[in-house]
Amino acid sequence: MSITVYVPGDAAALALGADEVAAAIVKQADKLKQDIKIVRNGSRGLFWLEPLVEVVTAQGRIAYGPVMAADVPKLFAADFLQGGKHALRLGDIAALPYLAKQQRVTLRRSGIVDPRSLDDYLAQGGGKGLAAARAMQPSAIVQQVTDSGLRGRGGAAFPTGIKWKTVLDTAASQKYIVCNADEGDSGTYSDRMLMEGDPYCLIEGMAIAGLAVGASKGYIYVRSEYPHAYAALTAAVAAASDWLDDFEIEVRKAAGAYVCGEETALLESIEGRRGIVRSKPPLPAISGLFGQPTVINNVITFASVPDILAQGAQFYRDLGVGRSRGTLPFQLAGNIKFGGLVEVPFGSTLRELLYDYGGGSRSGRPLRAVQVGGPLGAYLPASQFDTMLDYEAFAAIGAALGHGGIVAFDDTVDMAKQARYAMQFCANESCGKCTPCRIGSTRGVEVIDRIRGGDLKQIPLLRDLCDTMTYGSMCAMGGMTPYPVLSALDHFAEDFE
Amino acid sequence: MSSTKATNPLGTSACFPLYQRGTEGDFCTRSEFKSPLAPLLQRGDSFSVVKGFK
Repeated sequence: MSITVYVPGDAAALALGADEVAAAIVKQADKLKQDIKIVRNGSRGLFWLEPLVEVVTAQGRIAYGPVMAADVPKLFAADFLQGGKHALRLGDIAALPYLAKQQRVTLRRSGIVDPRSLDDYLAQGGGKGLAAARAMQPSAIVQQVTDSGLRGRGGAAFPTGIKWKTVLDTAASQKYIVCNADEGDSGTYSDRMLMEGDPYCLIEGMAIAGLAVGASKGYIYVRSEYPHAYAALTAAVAAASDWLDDFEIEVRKAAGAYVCGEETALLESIEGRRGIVRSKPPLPAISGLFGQPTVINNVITFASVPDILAQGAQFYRDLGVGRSRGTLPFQLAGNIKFGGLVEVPFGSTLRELLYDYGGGSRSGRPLRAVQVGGPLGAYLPASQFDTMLDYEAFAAIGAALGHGGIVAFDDTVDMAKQARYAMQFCANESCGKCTPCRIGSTRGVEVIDRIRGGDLKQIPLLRDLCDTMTYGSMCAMGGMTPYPVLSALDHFAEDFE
Repeated sequence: MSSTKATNPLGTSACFPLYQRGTEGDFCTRSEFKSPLAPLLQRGDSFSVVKGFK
């Protein structure tokens, strides 16, 4: 009987040599006439341990990491196929504190399931949500999602059930389900991990949405920088066609523009036009893709739905705090010792993530600032690290949780330079449709340059410019760029002097 | 200082970023809404944006 060895096919693991490790394991097994089966799983999200190799043994899945191709002969010599002792042996992967402390719901199968196998997905508990939805009326499905308290995980945190109900209640001959997989925020990768590690979960969530609102066609808009996710989804969609009955999904490769993560620009892009934001109203839920009622949600939002249907709204609602229910996969990145994915219910604090999971800075120096929510998120100083992780608590301090990306900086960071970067990013990525964003960002770079050059009288002008961008921009691209700029100015004023 | 303001049916003026149109507040019931534009949008009315005062 062959021994199953898991070697991640996740993009981060591949970047660290997972393909070479897999090849070395196959080669060594052939040489020693060992009967093995290699499964290319997704990542568990413990990136400092990648490539993380797991072996199925009588004691469970025993992990070794980080494994380099050169380590493989010695691993065989240590009888790692039986869970043998070796310096890289981590033991039962599920017992590692980094994982054991988490409460994984949406990403609980990532790294465990074979992402290429629908049978494995179903064997690991997948499919129950769709089966439940098929026995329900559309309005009952929407009610379950509403009752769960699920809010959009892409960043805006819009109540998913309300959006779905709007589409359900809008009469049309054709409706669409669109998945926003254009995950472009700096330091974020939860969408990618799910698409590469558990693609059928996303597909199931979209199919449930289709049943809920009466849509027969779905699109997944995947950013072009995610070739492995695109390949995984394309294969999974093809393999799932019978399972999905009449619901059809098309995977679209994005064009590489950050602004195409904005929902209306994304719809323009799918329709074959340049990614430029649309004026709202009309809302996509009423007039979206090709002018039809459209549910557009982020990857993690759709992937959260199967469990809600399978286990009931109350299961999900019991997690979290206040109006932030369920879990959010936070993504630790930047200058952090243990960068990785941490899925926990809303309600813990930033400090717990940064120190209990992240282990502080990788450089060993004090953490000075953290940017939460991508390049348009606020910079938080250490005095705000005890802020509770929920949408309302972050809004109260002038910040946003966004997509859950957390980028850490130590005390060598120049926050005036970071503020300039935010404006420059906006200038580079603006679609150009509205003046506050298109022109304001360029003027913002110039004003910050003058401030950094010593002209502090320009600071009121910068604040005024941020005010114009916040209130006058058509979408969050220009509207939220002031978040990192003003937070840097408010909390790290000394860096501008 | 430049900003935009919208007058809502409650008879008050409040700053409300344009980019937040169509977001949560616009869908909430009357007792819950946060956006001053919500009732206007729910009725399908247009609204005016006035620049130059705060």
